[in-house]
Amino acid sequence: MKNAHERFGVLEYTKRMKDTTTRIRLRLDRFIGEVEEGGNGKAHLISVLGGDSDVGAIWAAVIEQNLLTVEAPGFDPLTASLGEDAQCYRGTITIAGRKPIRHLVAISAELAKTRPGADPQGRQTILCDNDPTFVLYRISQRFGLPVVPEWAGWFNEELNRRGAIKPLIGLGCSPLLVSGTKKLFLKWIRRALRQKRIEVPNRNGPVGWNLANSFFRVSETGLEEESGQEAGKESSAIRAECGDTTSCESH
Amino acid sequence: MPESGPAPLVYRGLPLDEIEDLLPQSSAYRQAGRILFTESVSATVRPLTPLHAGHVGLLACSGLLNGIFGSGDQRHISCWQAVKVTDKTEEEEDGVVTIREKERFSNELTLVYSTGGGAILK
Repeated sequence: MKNAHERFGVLEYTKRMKDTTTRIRLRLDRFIGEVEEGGNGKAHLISVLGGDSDVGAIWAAVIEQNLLTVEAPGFDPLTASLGEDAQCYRGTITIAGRKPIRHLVAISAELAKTRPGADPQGRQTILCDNDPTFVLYRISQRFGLPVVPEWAGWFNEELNRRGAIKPLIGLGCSPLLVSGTKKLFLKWIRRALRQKRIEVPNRNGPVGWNLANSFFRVSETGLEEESGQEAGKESSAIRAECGDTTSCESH
Repeated sequence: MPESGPAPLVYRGLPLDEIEDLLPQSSAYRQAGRILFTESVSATVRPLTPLHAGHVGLLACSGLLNGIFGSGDQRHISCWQAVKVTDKTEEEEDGVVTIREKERFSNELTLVYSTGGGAILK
């Protein structure tokens, strides 16, 4: 896919010591963040690329809960940290004829708690995509809710009607914050079944989820378009699609 | 002064177009994907021999038998899940309070009936 520089953001970290100031700028491909009450920024996911030492420095900054500045298309520059107990995952991208490129994904503790069974009493769930089927799938996976994909539209309507959904700042994805506990969602489901707004399908057996991995949808779309369209047209279409996305990182 | 040729411009930064295409295969994303996407476990194969109760119990607890069961009013959807539970105990001795936390895994079954009934069995 062409024109990746138009979709990538920049993550900047400035470390001031007694007599030296170190400034590190890395390319950012995904980001999820939010502006908390009081104007403080909170990052939930960052994904950065760069050299070994630069990525190592960002990893240390994440561990030390230092502030990082994010600049990306679609939103104003944001200064945020990942907070306590962030999780980091490191990888390497190898391109022939070049030094290996290090990749760091850091995830905040709040986002890490959305893994299945990790925090059953949780009240908020951060999701990296706003597709209704994905939202229902992830909520059901997190809390162990008995649901079927056919209920995705109803569940999305219910979340919007009750104001339980809040869009987050995103680069490369369309993140959401869903508020609600397992008991609350179960209550909604039972009431909707009683009112016949949803029904259990007439087939016995396992529940299958047909989920497209939309986190990387921009890239896939680009590859499809690349074969049939001019590069210029393609880049503008992609920019329109990924207008307000964020990237995230984990430690 | 002789006229110079056009200045050659060379990009020596990261090859972002190639990187963007390779990122979905990054091991960092593969590890983080367990949190971001949580791919579901499912088994849709026929066992070679009939399962006995112990096998069924293990499969059910691990969530491999989640789905739609029953008929009529007893028609329901079941969902098993492993849940991390923290047991906290406090002991006071000679004015010193000792707090102990033990983490363990437990299984939880959530049921929803077609009539609107439901239950969480722990």
